[in-house]
Amino acid sequence: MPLLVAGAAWWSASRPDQLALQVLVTLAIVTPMGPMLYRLAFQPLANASILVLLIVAVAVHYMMTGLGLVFFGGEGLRSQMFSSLTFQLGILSITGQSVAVVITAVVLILVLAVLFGRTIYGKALRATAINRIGARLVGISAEFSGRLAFTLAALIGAVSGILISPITTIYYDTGFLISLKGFVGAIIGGMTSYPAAAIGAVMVGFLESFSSFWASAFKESIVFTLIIPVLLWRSLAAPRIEEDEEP
Amino acid sequence: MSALRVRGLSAGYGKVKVLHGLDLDVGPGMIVTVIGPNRAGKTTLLSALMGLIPAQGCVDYDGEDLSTLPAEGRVPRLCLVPERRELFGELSVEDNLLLGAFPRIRRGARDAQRDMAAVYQRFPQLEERRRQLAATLSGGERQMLALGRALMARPALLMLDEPSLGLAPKIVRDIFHVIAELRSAGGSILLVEQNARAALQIADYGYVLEMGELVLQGPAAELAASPRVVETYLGLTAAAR
Repeated sequence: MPLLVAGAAWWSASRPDQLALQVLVTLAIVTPMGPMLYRLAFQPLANASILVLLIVAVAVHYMMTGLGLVFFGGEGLRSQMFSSLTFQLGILSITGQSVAVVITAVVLILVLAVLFGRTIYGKALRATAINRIGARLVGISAEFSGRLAFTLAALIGAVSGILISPITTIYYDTGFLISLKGFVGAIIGGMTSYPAAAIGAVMVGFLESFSSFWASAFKESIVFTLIIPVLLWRSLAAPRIEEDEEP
Repeated sequence: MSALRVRGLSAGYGKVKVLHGLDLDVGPGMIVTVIGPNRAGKTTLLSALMGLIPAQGCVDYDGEDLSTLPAEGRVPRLCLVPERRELFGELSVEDNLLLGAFPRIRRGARDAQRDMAAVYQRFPQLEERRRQLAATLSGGERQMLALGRALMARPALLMLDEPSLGLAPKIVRDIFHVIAELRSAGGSILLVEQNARAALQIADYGYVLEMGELVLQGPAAELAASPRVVETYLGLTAAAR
């Protein structure tokens, strides 16, 4: 199966103009890396503490960045736009690519909402997060949840990368900064609500753009410093409801 | 012939050994109860049988060795309703039940809805509250939901850890009624209870667990009449009158 994908990648490299093909092959290459990473680095640690898992995640990230440097070199890449469409909206000029990003984000949100709200696999994943023992008692193993979560994450990451590579220059280590900012957006959304996370991410985008105009040396610091008041606000505004399991 | 055969089961937590070489049998279509005081190791026994904690000894179901399987692998042959229920509080009653059928759905079964209808028939209160979050249910309703969820997997052996704990007497009666019905429907049940009187009334066979060892066993009626059991577990209430 990996041979098939490798063969497809080699074949499609000689056809750089066929966008759909390139997109599909990219997805086919990157998405399986998710469960593979899970199997390699995280499955043996299924019962480890969150701190250990965090350290391993950082280590895996360094490894991946290093491999990226080896495979792709230090130069950046900016790929072709999907379409050369641009149009004016008042004083703003909007490209077709940006519209594609927004549409894809909305579609992804809807798909995830359906997946987690209505399918048994989505509910199983939620159940594992809510009560690990209960999930084991109904036959949901940690391996199943881990594989599913990582596959989803890899797929969404691949889609995001494909969408923004025409808009911004991608280097071997660009992923870190982008995902950290996405993380800030997710925290603002409380990690539980799709619209809130989307709004949070847009807020982060606004904040960074305005900061890069007014105080460009500090634009990243300002965005990350935002985490502190947000976390303070969340911890004060939403008292944790302990699961009170009285028989 | 389907049966649970346990030989030499030992288990504990870290350095503390709680169970010492237990031998136990549950025949098909039987209700077997394990009674005993607090801290005797009853919950440890069920956790070990379910594969939630590491254990030594042999656990056979239907001739097949289960001792190498993790808990997720022993479902749906064995199904545990634990003392703390372990429900999915933020999911609805319906979703909790649906997830009970997960092992069967994963293998391609499509009749989970039929099982859910059967559970609703047994527990009409659950049907009324089908869209409510599990965390908002009362104690008795949670117990029913936990039991219903276990039934959704169509287990060969149902294991219940103190189903009457913390429940009003009427609800306890209802629950035990359901347990007796399950036996007539052909399932085997391993019932661990502190309420020895109620347990011995519906069980076919019983074991007495004290300090991690099975000190007494026999048909439930005999146990209920044995002087030791009467004194320790049943007699106090009678003597007080």
